[in-house]
Amino acid sequence: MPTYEVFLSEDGRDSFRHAGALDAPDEEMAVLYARETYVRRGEGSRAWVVARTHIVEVDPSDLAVTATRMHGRNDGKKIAERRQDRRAAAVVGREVAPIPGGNPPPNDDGRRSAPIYGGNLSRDADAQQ
Amino acid sequence: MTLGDEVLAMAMALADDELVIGHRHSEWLGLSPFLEEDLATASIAQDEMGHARAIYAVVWPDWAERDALVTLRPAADWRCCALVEADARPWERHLVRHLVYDVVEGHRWSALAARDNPSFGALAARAGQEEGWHRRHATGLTGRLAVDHAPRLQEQLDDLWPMVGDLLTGMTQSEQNSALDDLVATLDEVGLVAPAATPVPGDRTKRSAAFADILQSFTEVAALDPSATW
Repeated sequence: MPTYEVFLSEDGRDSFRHAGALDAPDEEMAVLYARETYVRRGEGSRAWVVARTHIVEVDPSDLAVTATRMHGRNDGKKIAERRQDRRAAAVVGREVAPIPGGNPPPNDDGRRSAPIYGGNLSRDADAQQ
Repeated sequence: MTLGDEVLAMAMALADDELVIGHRHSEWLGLSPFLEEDLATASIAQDEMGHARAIYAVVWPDWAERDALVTLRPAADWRCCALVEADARPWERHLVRHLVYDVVEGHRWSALAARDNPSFGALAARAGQEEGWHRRHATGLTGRLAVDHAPRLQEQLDDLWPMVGDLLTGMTQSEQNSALDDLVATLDEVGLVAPAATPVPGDRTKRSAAFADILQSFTEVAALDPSATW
């Protein structure tokens, strides 16, 4: 039996998300099984069923080279760590830990505002030229 | 709620059929030919049992009485028919029964709704939506299997056919005719041939031999302590 991939959208604004796969003898049965397998409890208001053979996959080796271009990629982890450090510093009144690229200058009232972007500032400067 | 004898008999026949075929569907859980079919069967089992529960709730609004209706009712008081009671094996026999049952079931709900009872009218509308789905499932799967295995399916249909008449319980002659016309046409669409004998409603007061196992299964927990509250 062919394999079908099922995508669901919970409401009109959502993008479709991959819900899973199923095997079915043909498209019509795939539609039936998609409901029974993935939409028993209102998990979506729309569903796409796509034959796996219709999916065009990008060669993973074409993607591998991008794995080394991590600059500018921000998962929020560093900013969260820094925010925690600043909160802790505020409690005990110690100086905040330095960040790469330097801490921003204090405001007029002596407090420091957290930089929005704490990464490689020189790269930004390069980009502006 | 007061129901006329005729409407009550129709409703109880349908409710008991739904509960028992739901139970029979559930017995295939984990045994269907492939996973997706397992899930679909489990889902249909739940739907059918839900229909039974909804009818019981109209007839017996009291919850404890309704519970007792399933767990304490003696075999002689059940009104299900031999077709749903049958331990339909192999799997294609269960599939053919599922097809025949669900095609006629839509007509049974319509007939019940036509008896001018508002409670059943609302139930019929809800159940009808689910029944349409069950029917698509049964016809879709049977039609595809019939391409390569029509003789195996036909053999089961021929064998089950004498039990089909009981599904028509309580219907007027014209309701029976339209249900049977639909059934014959649907069987033709999926590549099977309805046997020549015209099904007629039989007596629902007798249980078939297969029923003892079902009743035992329904009641085995409750029988441990009939006075327990759940």
